Formats: sequence, C-alpha cells, structure tokens
Amino acid sequence: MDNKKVLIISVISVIALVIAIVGTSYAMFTANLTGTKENVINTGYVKMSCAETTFNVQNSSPMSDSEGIASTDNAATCTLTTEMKGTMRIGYDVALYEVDALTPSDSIGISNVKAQIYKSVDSGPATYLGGSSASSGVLINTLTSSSGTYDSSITSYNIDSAIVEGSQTVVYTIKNWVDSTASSGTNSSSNPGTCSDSTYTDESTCEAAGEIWGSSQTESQEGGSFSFKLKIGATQVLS
Amino acid sequence: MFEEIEPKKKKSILLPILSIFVLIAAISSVAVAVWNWTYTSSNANSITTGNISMSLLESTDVINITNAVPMTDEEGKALGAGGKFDFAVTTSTTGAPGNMVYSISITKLAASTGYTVLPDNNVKVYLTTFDGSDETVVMSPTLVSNIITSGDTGTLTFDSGKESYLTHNHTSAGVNHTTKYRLRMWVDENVDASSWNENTKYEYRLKINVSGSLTA
Repeated sequence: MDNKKVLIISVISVIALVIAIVGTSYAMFTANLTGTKENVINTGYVKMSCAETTFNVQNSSPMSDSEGIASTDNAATCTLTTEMKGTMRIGYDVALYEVDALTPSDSIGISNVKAQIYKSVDSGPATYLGGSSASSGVLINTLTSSSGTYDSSITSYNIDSAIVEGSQTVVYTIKNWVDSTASSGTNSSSNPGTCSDSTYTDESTCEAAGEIWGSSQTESQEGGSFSFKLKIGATQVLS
Repeated sequence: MFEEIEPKKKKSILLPILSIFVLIAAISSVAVAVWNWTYTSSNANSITTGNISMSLLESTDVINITNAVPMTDEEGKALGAGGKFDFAVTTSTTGAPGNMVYSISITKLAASTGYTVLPDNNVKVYLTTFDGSDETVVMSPTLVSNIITSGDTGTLTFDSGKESYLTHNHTSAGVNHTTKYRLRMWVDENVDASSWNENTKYEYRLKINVSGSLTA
C-alpha cells in the first residue's frame, strides 16, 4: 500500500512537473512584436583648426604705415576653419600671446611696433580689427587691455571675438612693422675729444696722421627683436 | 513641537531630495562637459632690427677770417688754417639693411651784435672730401645764392624757404663708413668792396648740419 502511494505520488509529481514545465508556457500570455521604425541618434561633430603661416623678418628698419602695409614678408595668417555637422553656437577669441616674451627689454617692443589686423570671412571683404584700418596700423601697446569674451584665460591682446554657428572659414591676417615715428631706443651722446680715426686718442697724433680732432655727437638706435604667437580659445555657447 | 518622522516617511522624503541632487549634478556636469577648443601657435612671428648710428665730428679748428676781402676762387680753394673747417660723418649700420643716406647743410646764422649779414650773393662756399692731402671736389666754388635745388646724389641743394640751406646727399653702404669733409668760404671776387671802410662791419656766419636716415 505504501509502495502504491509512493508510486502514485511519484507519478503525480512527474505529471505535475511536466505540466509545470509545459503548462507554464500556456499559463502566461506572451507576445513578441518587433517594431519596423528605427529610432537613431547619429552623433554630429564640430572641428576647428588654424592653419598658420608665420613670418621672421631679419634686420628690418623702421617704416611708415604705408610701407609696412605694402610689405609682403611681414604677414602672419591663420586660416581658421570650422567644420560642423549638427547645430552648435561656438564663441571664440583670437589673441596675440607671448608678446615679445623672449626679449622684453629689447629696444623695440610693444610701444614701437605697429600692426594691421584684419579678417576675411568665407573670402568676403576685409574687416579691420584692433583699431587698425586699410591705411593705418595700430601700436601693439594699445591692445594690452583687450581681453577675451569667451576664453577667460585671454586677458590681453585680444584682437577678435566672434560666434560661429556653421561651417565657416575665416582668414586672419596680422602684419607687423617697426614704427618709423618711434623714438624709443634712440640714444644721443657727445664726446668732446674724438679723432676721426679711433686709432688715435690724442690731438697731436690724430692731426699728425691727417685726421680730424674735435668734438663728436652721435645718434644711435640699438637693434632688437619683437615677437608674438597666436592663441585661439573657443567654447560652446549654450542658449 | 515637531512630530518625529517615521522611518518610512523618511525614505519617501529622502528619495525626491536625492533625485534633485542627481539632477543638479547631471546639469552641472553637462555645463562642464561643454565643447571647448584651444589653439596656440607653435612658432612665433618675429621682427629683428639692426644697430644704426650716425656721428658728426667737428674739428676744433673753425673758419675764422677777419678782415676778409674779395678773393678769387683759386685763392679761396687754397685757404688753410683759419680758412677751412674740417668735419667727418660716420655711419654704422650693423645688421641693418640698406644704406644710410645723409645730407649736409649749412645754416646761415644771425650776425654778431654790431655787424650786418653779408648778402648770399657775396659769399662763396667750397666743399671737398679729403684723405690726407688728396681732396676731391664735392661742390665747386658756388655763391650761396646760386645753390640750386636738386635731389641727385652728390649735388647741393638750396631751400629758399630757409636761411641759406646747402645740402650734399651722400649714400654710404657698409658697416662702418667715415667720410672726412672740408668746407671753405670766402668773399667772392666780384663783390664791390670799394664802399667798405673802417666803419663797415659785415659778417657771414654759418654752421653745419647733417641729417640722415636708413633706406631699404
């Protein structure tokens, strides 16, 4: 009897198990529906780049604005290209930095170097910047307090702040020259006892050699150097 | 005064607060993660200039002719000590391009007290360069009044807008260049001095000026 019970219970258990396994699928409602519409996010991108040309003018001499503007070997350019897929407002600042940083005590510096600065957007007409114009330059020292709008690290020598909202090419051009009206760096000296041939240091030997003995006055201008780099700081402008 | 909040209620309050914090953190991190780009040049733009100087050396021996009377050009050109004035112009353009171009001028000065200035057409000037005893004519004997305007190198110019203005343009190339000049002046032989007497007091005084600039 006991065996019968055990057998019955076992059979029932097996049946219950089978029902449980098989019957479960019938015990719940299931549906698998696959949509036909695809929802997609493709990321856009924003790229900015500056293709630079630099200048290195050796042994320059002071010149007028018209001469400096007409010169062809003193122009630095940055072709600022913005490539954008998507919509984004980007604010950017363009500045000179490390201005004369290597030789700050030279006889030429920010007070006697001039610049003509302009930009052309998508090959459009020139827009003059920093106070310069088509016919005149601006002394570099007038830019010292010009700070950036979008890049807080730019606290001086900012030359342009702008917003770009699509793909664009802006060519920045900066021409530099030593101002002919600059007086700094010019030294005057006089010497009451001088021979036209410095070999001779007293009047008798100087004149005996057929040279001129007298007083001399000298105006001189020491050489020096001026340099700068470009910095651009851009950031997304959230509306 | 305030009822103690039950643990379950505490949970229900904490959850929204936490959610707000999470939201704030999410917004903040979006602002920090905003798109940025910085560009700095790798190469500098530079201008260098050279050393430039110009000196004028004037002899202590100046022209000091007393009791001058008209004389011929030959006599005037041969004037020695007291009748000639030597000076030298030195230009230096180390590391600088181009040439120093300078001009020499004489500026007529006012006569001393009690004297009357001789007319420009009574006085001749003669300018040479010299090296030892060799002299090279820069300007042949010329009445100050006859000095003509010219921009050509090596010629003399007269600017009638100024007091007797005599210019010699000179271009000096090279690092160090010294040119020695000698100026002479005298009363021209054609001046009628028959009216001069012991009470006649004429005088002509001048000084030298040199101005130059660097040209490309």
